[in-house]
This record gives sequence, C-alpha cells and structure tokens, in this order.
Amino acid sequence: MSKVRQQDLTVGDTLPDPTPDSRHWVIYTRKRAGVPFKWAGYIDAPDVELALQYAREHYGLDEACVGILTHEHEDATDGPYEHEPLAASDASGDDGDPWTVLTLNRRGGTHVTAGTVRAPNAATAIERASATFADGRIRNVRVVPANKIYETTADDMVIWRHHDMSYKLARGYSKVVRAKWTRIRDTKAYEQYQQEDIGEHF
Amino acid sequence: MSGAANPVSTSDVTITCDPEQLAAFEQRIADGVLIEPGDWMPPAYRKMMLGMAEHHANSEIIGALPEGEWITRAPSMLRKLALTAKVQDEVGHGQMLYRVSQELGKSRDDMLRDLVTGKTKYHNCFNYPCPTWADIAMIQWLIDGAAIMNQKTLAEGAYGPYVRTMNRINMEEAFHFKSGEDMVLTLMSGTKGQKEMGQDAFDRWWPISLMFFGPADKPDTENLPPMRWRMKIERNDSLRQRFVNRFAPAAMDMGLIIHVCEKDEHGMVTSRKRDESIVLDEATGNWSFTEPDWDEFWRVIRGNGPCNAHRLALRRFSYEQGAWVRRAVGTGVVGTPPAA
Amino acid sequence: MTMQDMMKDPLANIVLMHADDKLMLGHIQSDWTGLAPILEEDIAASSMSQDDLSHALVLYEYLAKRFELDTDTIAFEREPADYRCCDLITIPDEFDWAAAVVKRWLVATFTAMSLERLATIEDDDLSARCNRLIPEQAIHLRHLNAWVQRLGRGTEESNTRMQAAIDLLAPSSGMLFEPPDASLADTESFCCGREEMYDQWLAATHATLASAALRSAFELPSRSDIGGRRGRHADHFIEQQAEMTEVRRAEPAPAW
Repeated sequence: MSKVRQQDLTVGDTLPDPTPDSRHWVIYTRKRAGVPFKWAGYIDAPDVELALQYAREHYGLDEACVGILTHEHEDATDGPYEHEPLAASDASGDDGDPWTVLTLNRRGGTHVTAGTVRAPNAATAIERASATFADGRIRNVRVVPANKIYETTADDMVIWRHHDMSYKLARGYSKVVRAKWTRIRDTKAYEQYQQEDIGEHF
Repeated sequence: MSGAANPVSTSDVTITCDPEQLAAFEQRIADGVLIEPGDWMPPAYRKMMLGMAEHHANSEIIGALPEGEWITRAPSMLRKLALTAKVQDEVGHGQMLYRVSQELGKSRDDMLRDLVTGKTKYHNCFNYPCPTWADIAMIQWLIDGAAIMNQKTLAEGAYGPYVRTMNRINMEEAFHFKSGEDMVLTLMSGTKGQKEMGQDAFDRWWPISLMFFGPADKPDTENLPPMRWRMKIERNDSLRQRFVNRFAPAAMDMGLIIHVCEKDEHGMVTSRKRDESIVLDEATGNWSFTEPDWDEFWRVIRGNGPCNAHRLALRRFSYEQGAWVRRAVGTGVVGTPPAA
Repeated sequence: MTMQDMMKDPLANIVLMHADDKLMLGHIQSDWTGLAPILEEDIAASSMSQDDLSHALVLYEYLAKRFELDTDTIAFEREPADYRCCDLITIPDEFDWAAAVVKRWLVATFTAMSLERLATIEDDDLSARCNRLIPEQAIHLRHLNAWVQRLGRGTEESNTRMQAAIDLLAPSSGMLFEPPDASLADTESFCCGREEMYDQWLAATHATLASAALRSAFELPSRSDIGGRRGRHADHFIEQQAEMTEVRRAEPAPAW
C-alpha cells in the first residue's frame, strides 16, 4: 500500500484557492463505422484535444468503440422536449451555415446524430431540423453549428484496445462464476439467485 | 456504488411554488414521463435532486479509497487488473454524477471542497476498514450487490439525467458484482486460510450491508416528496428484505456462517455468535434475520466511525496536492509543437 | 521446463525486460487510481496503467507458452534478482504528480522504440504480440508528451515542479538502456545498438522538453554499471515487489 494511503495525514486549516470548472463537453460514441453516434456522457476539459482523449478513456472503453464526437455543452441548442412525437412540417429554406442535427427518440433516452441542415440561426435550424427529421418517433432535436462539432479521426487514435478486456466486463466472469456456483448449488437455485443480476447491454 | 436512502432531509424543504404547475409536474411523474433539465420543476425538487446526485457522487469518490488500498497487493494479474478497473469505475461514476449536479447549478470544484471539508456527506459503508484481501471480495459481492439492487430501482426514477447516469453505472456494476462473486467463490473453495479470511471478512461486512439501505422509513414515506417525486422508489426495509432473501442462502451455501457480532471502535470483530434467527418462512419466502446495530449506524454517520477521519484526510490531501495541476491545466496552454 | 530454463534464455530475458518494466510501471501508476488531481485524468491514467499491466501479461503469456509455466508464477514468484525491470521505474514519486508524469514519459519514450525493435524478431508469436502493443503504446506516448508540454508551459509554478521532477529522475534514466544480460550488449538479439537507441531517445525527449520550456542533461551509463536489468536492484524495487507479492506469500494458494 503506497505510503500516502497508509499515512496519518495532517490537513491544513485552509484549502488552496478554488479553481473554476473546466469547459463542459458533450460526448457521443459509435460502435461501428457508419452507424450514428450516440450520447455517452460529459467531460470537463480545457480544450477539445484533451476532451477527446478523456472521452476515449472514459466512454470509449465500455464496449467496442470506433469513433467519438464532441461539442461544447453551450454550443448546442435543444428544441422543446415533447411528450408526443414531433409533427413533420414544411419549414423550408436552405440559406445559412450548416448545423449538425441530433435527435431523441423518447424522453429519457439518448440523442443520436441524424444529419445536417442549413440555417442562419439556431431557432431556424431547429425548425428545419424538426421538419426534416420528424419520423413519427422523435421527440426532440438538438442543433450544433457544424464547425463546433469535433470528431476523432481513424488514424488519430486506437480506442477499443487490442488486448483482452474481459477482465473488466461482466461477461468475462459469467462462465467461471456459473461453473463455481453449480458445483455448490443446483442449477435451479442458481437461476433463481442470478435473476437479480443486471444484463450487460448499452 | 450507490446512493443511500434519501440523504437530503425533507423536513426542512418547504414546497412553495405555484400549485397548478406543481400539480402538472406531479401528474407528469405519475404518468411515468421523465423530467429533463429544461422542464419546470419545484425549487425543492431541484435542490433535492442536486443534493441526491451530489451525495451519490461523493460516495463513489470516497468509495474508491478503501478498495484502492489493496490495488498494489492484489494476488494475481487478473485481480490486479480487475481491482484497478473497478476503482477506476468508481471515479468515473463520481464524474458522471457530479455532472448531474453541475447541470443543476453547483460547480464540481465546490462539491469537492464541500466533501473534503465535511460539509456534505457520503455513504456510511465507506467509513469501515478493509484489513484483508478478503474484505475486497466481500465488498464487491455484498456492497456492490446491495448497490445494484438499489440502483436498479433508481433507474426507474423520474429525472432524465440521473436515470441515464444510473443506466450507464449499472452496466459497470454488473462487472463489479461478478468479479466480487468470483473472488468470494474462489476463497470459499480454497485453502483453510482463505476460508477463514473469507469468514472473518464476511463477519465484518454482513452487518454493514444490512445497514446499506438505511434505517426503516417512516410510515408515510410514500407520500413524502422523495417517493412521491420518484427520487426514491422502494422502501428501505423492502430492499433490505430482498437483499437478505438473495444473499443469506447464497452465503450459507458457500459455507459461510451468518453471525451476530460485537465490534470495537476500529471496526474489528471482538466476539461473534451464530445468528439463530436466520430462518426461512416458507409461506412468504422471506428469511428472517437479526437487525444490525442501528446505534452504531448513527454513531458512524455522525463522524465517529473507524475510518471517517482517514477517508476525508486522504481525499483532502489529494485535492490539496493536485491544486497546482488543475491551475496549470486550466490555463489551457499547450506546448508548442516540437521542432521538426 | 522450469523458471531456471527461462532465466537462462537470452530472448526470454529481453522479453522479461519489457514485461517487467510494464508490470512495475503499471503497478505504481495503478496505485494513483482515485487520488489523481483531476477526475478525468484519474480515469485516463488508470486506463493506461491497466494497459501496461495487460501488456506485461501479453508478454508473460508468450513466455508461459514457451516454457510451460503459469503467468502468475512468472509475474509474482521470481526472486527479486530475476526481475529485469530497470530501477528508474520504482523510484518512489512521493505522491508528486510531476514525478509520476515525468517518469512515465521517460519510460514510454523508450518503450515505444524498444517494442518496434522487438517486433522485428524472428518469432511470429512474439512479433504479433508486439504489433498489437505498439499502437496502444503510441497513445500513451502521445498523451504523456502532451502532459509534459501542458505542465511545462502551464504556469510558472507547474514549470518549476516539472523541472524539479526531471532533475530528480534524469540521473536514473540511463538505466533504461542497460541490457538484461552482458552477452546481449553487442549482439543482434538485443535488436539494435544500445548507443543508437539512446541517441534516438535523446532526440525525442529533447524535442518534447524544448516545446515544454524544460531542460535536462541525460547520460548513458557505462556498460560496466550493473543495475536492475541484471538483477542488482535498489531497495525501492525490492520493497515494491514485496508489497506486490504480500498476499500470495502470506497464504500460498492455487487460486485467488
């Protein structure tokens, strides 16, 4: 046990000065090439380079991950969170800068990348995105200026590792645990006990 | 690991807000619709939700410390990797949970400062010592097991950001629990010394896990805001009974004996006797059991546990020692690219 | 086959050099989990310590196959004199993040080069394993180079602390280049000339230092300096290895 952990530490009377929180980044990941990016969580970091590196180590190692997308929290504008699916409309127009659109299928779910629209401002981008992407299911659109969204590149980084990661996955233990239990208990008793286990899918 | 039974006292939270909006809010919750950060919410809800996520985050951050003591001594490459990953996960959970509270209006730095100065609290179970390797196995089996039961219910809550965080956390808890199970099974089918180590650690952690869900709730708990607003989903006693029903027979099948123990002020067992009340009621399917020492619970939660001071001192030391790094990284200065 | 057979094999010693470096680097850094200065960096640094431990395991598995041994036996059951790590790695960092970063960075710069060379060995299994490790090693080096720069240039305070860490560790960094066996110093089986590798490492570290407003003087020790790689270990390695094996030694058991 490192000496620090063993020590009886004496603490000072006052803490060091506070440091302000870092910039807040929203993180999305994708499991395979070509599929939408899906919301994963948040990272605090001073710049996008560190944000993507941290995102890789925090959200990119839960399961196979081939790409990470991020934007600053404040660069996103969310439309209203509806209880019913958004109605398709004919908001049209093609002027303005590109915006990346993310959509939400159900309240409590997670946003996924959907495509892009062009618009002169966020409000119009939301109108046009709702019109374009309403599919009878989505309840929210989020828009981010396309030049404020950042993505890992293929040669940029290895994300999911090459070496055996099963030591940190429940399925890495399922077989041996089952075998050890069934030596002790009969199968029925084990099935019943195991019912409380959580499955392992994102 | 997990948030406890509601840590934010409701008696001092006055619910003053527009009755129509409140009624609409409560109807939405009753209908199973999730609340998102942009929605109207009663000020009391915002405050309680912030406090709940903060307490849960604090618990993860402090929870990383007892098990962290054994990383350097893990007795195989698999256990070394797995324990490091598990403790890493707790830091990650803390990061995600602090985010929920950050979004509700408190900075992470403020939350860490309040934690290390004792202004805010964390789950009681981390105020106990881990004197042997077997304690690690028992924590991952019993405490993570209890946390999973609790967090599965919390994932049915009403606040979107917290529910999404619970879903992510629970994926990793599955690994923690399975790894813990594997370690306990290995110890209890191992050498005489391993079995004794296992039994001693079980004696320490069984009562702590019974206390995990908190003391019995008030009779009108379903009507109070935490349950009414689906911040808390199930009563503490109900969770505790489900825990015993699962783990008591499992422990006994492994060859563990469930004892009633006396402990000293260091958290070490001084005497033990078999708990004769561990009996299955065939009609209800419930196992009866001896309640843990609730006086001990209140003593420890008020600061007089075996490790309270040590945990906070270590985390505070880490915060103090790391301040220069946060200052440097916060400037956002990166190096100039090396000359070609 | 036995451990003694393994310890007599020159290639095994080279593999152990890489594996033991990784084992001890991972061992030390994993102990920071939960205590690092920034939560996100805590997670990232722990991730990389797990990589190092996993890399060690990948190389121990190669040896386990060849010599019909068990990986935990190789990792934990050798006498201290049979470990081939250099003692730079186990110099205590005394809970100083600057020392932790600088040490990992010095070692990672070396390992990136050394693995490339090891991958050219005429052993399909070993070179395949190295080729899996190399891209992950590159992530570590990139992350650590960036950290040296951020802390070197961030504030005056951080620059001072980083400089102090470099001044502390630089005199021992030459230990990286000790061959694990005197017979390997000149032969092809060490995969390259020791001086050539040192020059390359020097260029790489100096480039990063320059961009980080830091400086150092490194030295290649004389060939007659026998250190950790040839089994003559400092007390701090022996203590760490003892801590690492404490539970196993207290209760010898077939499984944990």
